Amino acid sequence: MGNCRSARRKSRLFEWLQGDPVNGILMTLAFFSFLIIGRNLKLWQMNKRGKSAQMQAEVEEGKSSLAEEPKTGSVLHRFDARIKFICAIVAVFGAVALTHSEFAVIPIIVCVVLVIFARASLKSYFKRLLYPLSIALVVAVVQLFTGTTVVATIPYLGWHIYSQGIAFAILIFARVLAAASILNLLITITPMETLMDSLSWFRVPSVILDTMMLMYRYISVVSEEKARIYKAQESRCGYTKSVSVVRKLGNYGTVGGMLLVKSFDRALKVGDAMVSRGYTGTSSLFSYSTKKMAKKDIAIGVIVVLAVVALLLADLGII
Amino acid sequence: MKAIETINLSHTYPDGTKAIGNINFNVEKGKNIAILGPNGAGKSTLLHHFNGLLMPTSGKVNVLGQEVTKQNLDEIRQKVGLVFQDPDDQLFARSVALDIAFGPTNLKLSKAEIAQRVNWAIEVTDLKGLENKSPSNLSGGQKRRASIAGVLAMKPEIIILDEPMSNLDPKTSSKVLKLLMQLNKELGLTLIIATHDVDLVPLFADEICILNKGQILMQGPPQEIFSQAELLRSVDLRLPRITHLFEILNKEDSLRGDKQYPLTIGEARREILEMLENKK
Repeated sequence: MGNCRSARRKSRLFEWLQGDPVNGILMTLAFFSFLIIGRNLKLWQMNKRGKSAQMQAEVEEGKSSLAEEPKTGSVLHRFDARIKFICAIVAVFGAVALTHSEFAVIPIIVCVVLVIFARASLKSYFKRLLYPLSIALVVAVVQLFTGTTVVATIPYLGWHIYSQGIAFAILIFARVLAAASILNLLITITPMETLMDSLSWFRVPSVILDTMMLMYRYISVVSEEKARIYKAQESRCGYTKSVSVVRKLGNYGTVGGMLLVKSFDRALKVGDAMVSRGYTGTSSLFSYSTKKMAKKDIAIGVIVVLAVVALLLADLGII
Repeated sequence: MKAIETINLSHTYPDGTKAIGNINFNVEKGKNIAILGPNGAGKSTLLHHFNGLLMPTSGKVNVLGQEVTKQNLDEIRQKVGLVFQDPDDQLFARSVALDIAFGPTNLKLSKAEIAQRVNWAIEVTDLKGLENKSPSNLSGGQKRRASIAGVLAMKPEIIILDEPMSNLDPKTSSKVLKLLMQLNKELGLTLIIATHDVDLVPLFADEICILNKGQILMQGPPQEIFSQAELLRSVDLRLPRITHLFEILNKEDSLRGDKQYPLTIGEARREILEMLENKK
C-alpha cells in the first residue's frame, strides 16, 4: 500500500515537472537560488578559516579565469586553433554518445594531463568546471528517481531511488564531465583572439564574432561593477545575519537590476566612443585573420579524431 | 585661426532638460583651454558637440572654420578626437594595438599606414610592451594613455578630454599631464580639457572657461579668472590651494600688497624668495 502511495506521489511530481514550462522555470530559479546559497556558504567558510582578504575579494569580484592573461608558451597553445576546434567538437560529440560511464574517464584524464603538459593553471581549470558540473548534478539527481528497480527510499518523503536511475545519473554526469573537460581544455589552451580567428575561418558571421568579442571584453568590467554594487550593499549591512533570506535575495535582485541598467548605459557610451572615432556601423568592428594550416597539425588532428572514433567503437563493443 | 567656435549654441535633451543655452565659446588653434564647472554644469554636453556626437538644438559649431553638419561628421571626427572620462567606455577591443587601430581603420587607410600610425601612437604614449595586452589587464594610468593613443592615431588637430585626471593617483596624473603638454608643444595640438581639478589647471591652461548651469560665466587667462575668487566660490568652485594661501596671507595677515596671487608652486616660491630678499 505504502509503495503504491509513494509511486503515485512520484508520478505526480514528474507530471508536474513535465506538464508546464513554468515548472521548468521554477526548477531553474531553484537551481540559481542553490547557487547563491552555495556561494554564500563558500564566503562564510573562508571567513571562518580566516583566509586572506585578497582571496575573499577574488571570490566576491567573481574574477573568472576568462579574464586571465592567456599563456601562449606551450606547444598546445601554438597548435592550430581551427584543428583544435574541430577536434574539440568531434570529441564532445563522442563523449555525449558514450554508453558506458567508465569510458568517459579516458577523455577526462587526457584533458587533465594535457592541461599539466600545457603548464596552465590546474586550479583555474577545475574552477571553470564547477559551473557546468553543478548543472549536471541537478540533472543527475533528478534521474535518480526514474526507473523500475527500487534500491533505496528517502525517509519521510517516501521517494524511491532506482538502480536504473543511478546508472543513468552516473552516465549523464560522466558525459557532461567529459564534454565540459574537453571544452575547458580548448579554452585553456586557446587564446580568445585565435579562437575567434578560427571561427571566422569557419565562416561564422562577423556580427556574431564581434558580439562575442565585446561580451568577452566587458565580462570583467561588468564583474567589477557587480562587485562594487555588492560591496556597497554589504558595507551597509545588506547581507548580515540579521537580514532575512528573502531580503538578501531582494538585494541580489537589486544588484542584477542595477547591472542591467548600468550595462545599457555603458553600451550607449561605448557606442558613442566608437562613433567619435569614425565608426558608422557598416563594417566589421574587428578584423580576423588566419594562417595556412601546417601539415603536421593536420596529421595530429586526424590522429585525435581517429582516437575518438576508436573510443566510441570500444564503447559499443565493436573493437 | 579659431580651432573651435560656437555661436549661440543651445542643447535641450529629449526629456526637456536644457543642458546648455546660448553658448558663445571659442578657442584659438594650438592653445590649451580648461573648461571648469561644477557637476551638471553642461561640460560633457558642450564637449560632445565639438565632435558631432550631439547636434545643436539651436546655434552652430564651427571646427577650424567649417560648420559641423550631419554631412561632414566623418571629416569633423577625424579632426576632433574625444577622450572619454571612463577609459573602459573607449577601450573595447581585445588588445591595445587593435583598439588604437580602430579609428584609422574607420578612416579606410592602407594597412601599412594603419600599422605606422599605431606604432607611432604607442611610442608617443609610452605604451611599448603593452600592445598585445587586453585592456582589462591594464592599470588605470595605462588605460588612460591607451585611450589617448586611440584618438592620437587618427591624427586629429584638436583633442577633447573629459576629466582626464579623474581616478588617477598623483604620480600617474602628473604623467598624463606631461604627456598632454608634450602633445601640445611638439605636435601643436589644441587641447580642450574639462576638469574639476582646480590645482592642475594653472599648470597647463592658456585659458579657462567657467561653465555654470549651461552658461559661460567667464572666459580668459588663468590670472584673470582666479582673481575673481568670490565669483568662483559662488558657483561651487575654489581657488588653487597655493593661491588660497596667499589670499589668506594678504587678507588676514596683510603680508603682501595688491599684487596678483601666484597660481602655481613655482610662482609662489619665486614670490616668497623675493619677499625674504626684500626683508634683508
